[in-house]
Amino acid sequence: MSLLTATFRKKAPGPENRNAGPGLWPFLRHLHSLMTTGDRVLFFILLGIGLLSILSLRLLFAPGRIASVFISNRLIKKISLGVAETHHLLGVVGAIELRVAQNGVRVIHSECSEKICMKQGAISNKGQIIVCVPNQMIITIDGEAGHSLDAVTP
Amino acid sequence: MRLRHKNSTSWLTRVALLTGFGLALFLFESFIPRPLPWIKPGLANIATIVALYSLGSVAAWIVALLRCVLGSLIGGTMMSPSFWLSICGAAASVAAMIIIRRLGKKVFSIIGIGMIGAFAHMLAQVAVAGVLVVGDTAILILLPSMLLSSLLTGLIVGYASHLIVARIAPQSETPQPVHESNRGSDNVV
Repeated sequence: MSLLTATFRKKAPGPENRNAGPGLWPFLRHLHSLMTTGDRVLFFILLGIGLLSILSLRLLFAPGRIASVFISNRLIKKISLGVAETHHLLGVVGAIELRVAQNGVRVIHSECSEKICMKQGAISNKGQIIVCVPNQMIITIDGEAGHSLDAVTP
Repeated sequence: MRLRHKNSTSWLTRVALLTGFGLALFLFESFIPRPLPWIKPGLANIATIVALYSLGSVAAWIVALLRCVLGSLIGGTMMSPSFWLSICGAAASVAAMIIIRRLGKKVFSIIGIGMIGAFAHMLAQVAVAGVLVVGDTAILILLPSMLLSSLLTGLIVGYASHLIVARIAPQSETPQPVHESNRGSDNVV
C-alpha cells in the first residue's frame, strides 16, 4: 500500500524537483536537467540513425508500376498503377474494394474488424505494403522502378 | 533502492501491483486514437522500468511478460500475430534495458534506459513482423517513422518512470523491520 500512497504524494523529495511546475517548458527543462551526458549522446545517435534510415529508404524504394495482391499467400491479381480503376476482390472474411488513383492504390472498403488496411491510405512506392490480417491480404508494389536513378555502373 | 528480499510478501505484492499498473496502462493506450496504426505510445513500459529500478531485473521480466499474456487474454488476441509481436517486443526491451543498465550504470540515467527500451521494442517488432506477417523486407518502410516515434515516446516514458521511482524509492530503501514472530511466515504465500 505504501507504494500507492507514495506514488500519489504531491512532491518528490530531493532538489531535482525544483524546476517542475505547470506548463510544458518547465517539464522540458526538468527533463533536460535529469539527462546525463550518456543520455544526450544516445539521443543524438538514435536521432541520427532515424534520419539516416529515412534517407536510405528514399533511395531504396523508388516509385513502382505494378501492385500485386496476395490473399492467403496466393497471387490473386496484378494491378497496373497507371490505370485509374476500382477492383473488387474476395478476402478470407469478406469483400475488399481497391481503388487505383493518381497517388497509388488504396483499400476503400474492407469487411474486416479493425479497418487498419483502409487507414493506411494509398501506396505507390516500390516495397510499400498494405496488410489486412483478418482477410489475409497483402498488397505489394513491385515491377520496374521508376527512373529515379540517372545511371547504374556495372 | 532495490528491495533486498525477493520472494518476500512485500516484493510479491509490489510486483503484482506493478503488473496491474502496466496492464491498466496497456489497456488505456489501446483506447487512444492513433494517427498511424503501428505507432503506440508504449506507456505500459513505465511499469516495467519502475519494476526494474525498484525491485530488480526478475521483477521487470515478470511484469513485462505477465502484462503481455494478461493483456492478450483481455483483448482477445491470445496466440495471434499481434500477441507474438507484443511479447517479443516486451522481451527484447526488458533484455536490452537490463543489459544496458548493468553495463552503463554511471553512463545512462533512467531516461536513457527508457529510450533503449522503446528502441529495442520497436526493432524486435519490426523483425518479428517481417518474419511472421510479411516474410519480406518491405516492412522496412515503416522503420523511420517507428524509430523517430520510439525516440520521443522513450523520452516521455523514461521521464514518467523517473517521477514514479523518485517517489517510491526512499520507501523501498528502508525495508520494514520484520518482526520476530512474523519471520517464519514471511515466505509463505
